[in-house]
Amino acid sequence: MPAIVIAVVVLALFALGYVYYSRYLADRVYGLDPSFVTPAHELSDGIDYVPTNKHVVFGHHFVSVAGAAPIVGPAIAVFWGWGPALAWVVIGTIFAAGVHDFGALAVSVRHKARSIGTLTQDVISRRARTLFLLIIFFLLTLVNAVFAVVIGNLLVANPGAVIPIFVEIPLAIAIGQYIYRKRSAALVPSIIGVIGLYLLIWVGNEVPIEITGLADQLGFDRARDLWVIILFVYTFIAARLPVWMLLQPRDYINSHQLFIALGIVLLGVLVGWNSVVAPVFNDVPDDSPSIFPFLFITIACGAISGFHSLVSSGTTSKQLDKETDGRYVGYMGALGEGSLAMCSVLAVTAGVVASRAEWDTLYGDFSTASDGAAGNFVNGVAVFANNLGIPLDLAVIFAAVVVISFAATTMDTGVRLQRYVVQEIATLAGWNALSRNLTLAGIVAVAVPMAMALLPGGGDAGYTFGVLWQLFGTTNQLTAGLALAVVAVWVVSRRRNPVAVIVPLVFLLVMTSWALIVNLRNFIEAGEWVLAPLDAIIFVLAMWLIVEAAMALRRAYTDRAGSAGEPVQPRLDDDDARTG
Amino acid sequence: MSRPAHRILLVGPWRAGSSSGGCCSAEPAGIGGEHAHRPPAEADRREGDAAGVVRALRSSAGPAVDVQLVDPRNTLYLLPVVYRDARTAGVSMVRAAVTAIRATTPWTLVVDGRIVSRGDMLDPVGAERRCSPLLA
Repeated sequence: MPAIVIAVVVLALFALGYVYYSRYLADRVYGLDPSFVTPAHELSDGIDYVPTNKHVVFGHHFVSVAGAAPIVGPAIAVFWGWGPALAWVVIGTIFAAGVHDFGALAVSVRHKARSIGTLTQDVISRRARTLFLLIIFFLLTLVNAVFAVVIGNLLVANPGAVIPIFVEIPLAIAIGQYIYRKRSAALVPSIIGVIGLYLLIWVGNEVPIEITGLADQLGFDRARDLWVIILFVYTFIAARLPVWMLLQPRDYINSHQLFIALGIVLLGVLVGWNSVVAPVFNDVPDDSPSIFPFLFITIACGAISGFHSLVSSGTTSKQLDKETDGRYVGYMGALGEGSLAMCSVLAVTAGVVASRAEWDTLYGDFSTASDGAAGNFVNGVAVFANNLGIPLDLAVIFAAVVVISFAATTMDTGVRLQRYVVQEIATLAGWNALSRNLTLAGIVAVAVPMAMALLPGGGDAGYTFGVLWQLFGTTNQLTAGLALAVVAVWVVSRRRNPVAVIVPLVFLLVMTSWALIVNLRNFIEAGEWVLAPLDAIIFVLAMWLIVEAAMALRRAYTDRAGSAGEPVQPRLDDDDARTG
Repeated sequence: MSRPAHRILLVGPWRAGSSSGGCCSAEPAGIGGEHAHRPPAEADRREGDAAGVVRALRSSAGPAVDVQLVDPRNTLYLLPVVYRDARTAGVSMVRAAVTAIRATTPWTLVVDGRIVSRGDMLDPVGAERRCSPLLA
C-alpha cells in the first residue's frame, strides 16, 4: 500500500476526531464556557499570564510538546506490524491523548492555571504530590537514560553527524547572544544557523569522527558508552547555563528543524510514492514481548504522553484568552504529536527498505528492532529526502542531526527539570543539604540516568534498549494516568459524565501494571538486578496511583451525591462561578 | 467568526527564562514546586511591560480591532499571519515576506501587516500614537 494513502487516511481520522470528539469533550465533558474569565485575564502580569490568541498559543504549545519520543516509540512498535502500531497511534491520539492534553489544560484554567503537580495535591491528596514527584523523578531519569543511549547509538552509526551536532552548540550560543543583545529579527539568525548546520552536514560527511578506537583504548566494551559519558558531562554543564544562552536558541532552531523534517517526510512520501513493505501484523518470534500490554507502553508519546499535562498546565493555561480556546490548543496539540508518530511509522515501514525480506532483517527480533529503531527512522527519512533530490549520504546525516538535536535538547531540559525535582523531594524528606545545593542536585540528576544508561542490568546478553524504553513508557503513562485522575475527579465534581476520561485512565493503568508485572518476572528470571528493583518501585508507584485515584473518585462521587439537588459546590477554588 | 476590521500584533520581548525542549520535557513551572522559580523573571521585567501596552491598545482600539501579544519565537503564527495581512494591504509578495521576517524582531508593532515600530521598547502612549494613523 502506498504510504501516502495511509497518511491521508490517518490525517482524515484526526480531522474527524477534532471536529466531533473534541467538540463532545468541550461541550459535554469539560463544559467549557466562552464567558469564563481565564487566569490570563484575572492574573495578567505581563510575564506569564497574558491573554493570547488561540493560534498564537497553539504555535507555542505544539513546538513545546513535539520532539524525539514520538519518533522512537512507534519505530520500535512496528515490530508487531504496522497495523497495530498505527491503530494505537490513531486511537490513542483521538481518545486518550486528546482527552488528556485538553483535559489538563481545562482543569488548570479552572484552577488559576495551577500546574498538574500542584493540582494532584489539591484535587487528589497531599500524598499524591509526593507520588507525582516520585513518578516524575523516575520518568526524567529514564528519559535522560534512553535519549543518551539513542544519541550514543546514532553518533556511533553516523560519525558524519558528530561535527554538525557539536558545532551546533557554539552556533546556538552565538545566535542566542545575537538575538538577545542586538534585538534583531529572531528568524534571520536562526535560519542562518539552520543553514549553517546543514552546511556542516557536508563537512561532517567529509570528516566523520569515529571514537571506536578511542573507546577501545579506554577500555569501553561499547563505543556508545563513551558517548553517553561525554553527553552527560556536557548536559551537566549545559544545564548550569542560563536558559537563554544555549537551551532557548537551540530549541528555537529545533522548531525550524521540526517543520523541515515534517515537510520532507510528507513531501518525500508524496513524490516517491513509497509503498509500505512491512506486514500489517508481524509474525514475531515466540520469545518476544506480547503485543498486549507491551505495544501500549512502547508507544507512549505519539499516543499519549504524561509530559503534555506539564506543558498544558505549566505555561499554556496561563495564556488562554478564552476557555473555549482550550479545545483548539490542547486537542490539536495532541493531534500534531500523533502526526509525528505517523511519520515515524511511515519512515520505518515504507522508507527504510524497499522489500519485505530486508525489513524482516531489521525487525527479526525485539532486541534488533528496538536497538535499531532510531537508526531505522533516520534511514527512512533519508530515503524520503532522497526522493526530493538530496543525496542519500547527506540525507542520512541530516536525519540523524534532526533526531539528535531533539534528543539532546530534551536531555538538557530534562536534567534541568530533574534538578528541581531532586530538590523538591529532598525538601519533602528533610534533606536540607541536598534541597539547598543546586550543584549537588545537578550531580544526582546526571549520575542516576548515566548509571542507568551505562549499567542497565545483568544477564548473559545484557539488556535490550527496548526494555529500558518500555520502562520509560510505563512511567510516562503513569504520569498521564495521574493527570487523567485529576481531570476525572474534576469532571465528576462538576456533575458531568467522566466516562471519556475514566476509560483511557483505566486502560492506561491496566496496561502499565500488567507490563510491569510481566517485566518484573522476566527481570528476576534473567538476573537483571538493576532493572528488577526499578520495575518493582515503579509498580509500587502504579499501585499507589490506582489507590489514590480510586479514593479521590469515590470521594468526588460521594460529595456529588451528598449535594444532589443543590447548586454545584466548586471544589477548592474551582472558579465555576467566575464568569464575565 | 468574522475577521476583525484591523489586526495589531505586538511582538513581545525575547523572554530570558522561557524554553520548552520538545516532547518529554517541560519548564520547571510545570512541576509547580517551591524550587520551580525562574530567576530570569526579573530580567524579563526589565524587558518592558508588553502586556501593559497590549491592554492599553485593546482598551483604546475597541472590539473591532484584534490586538495580540506574540512571542518573537512563535514563527508558526507570525510568518503566515503577517504575510497574509501584508498581502491583504496590497503589498507585493517579496515585500510581504520581508515584512513577515522582520516582524520576528522583539518589540515590533505590526498594524495590518505594516511595521510601525521595530526593536524599540514602547510605552502605551507611544504605541497608541504609532497605531492610530493606520486605524483611522
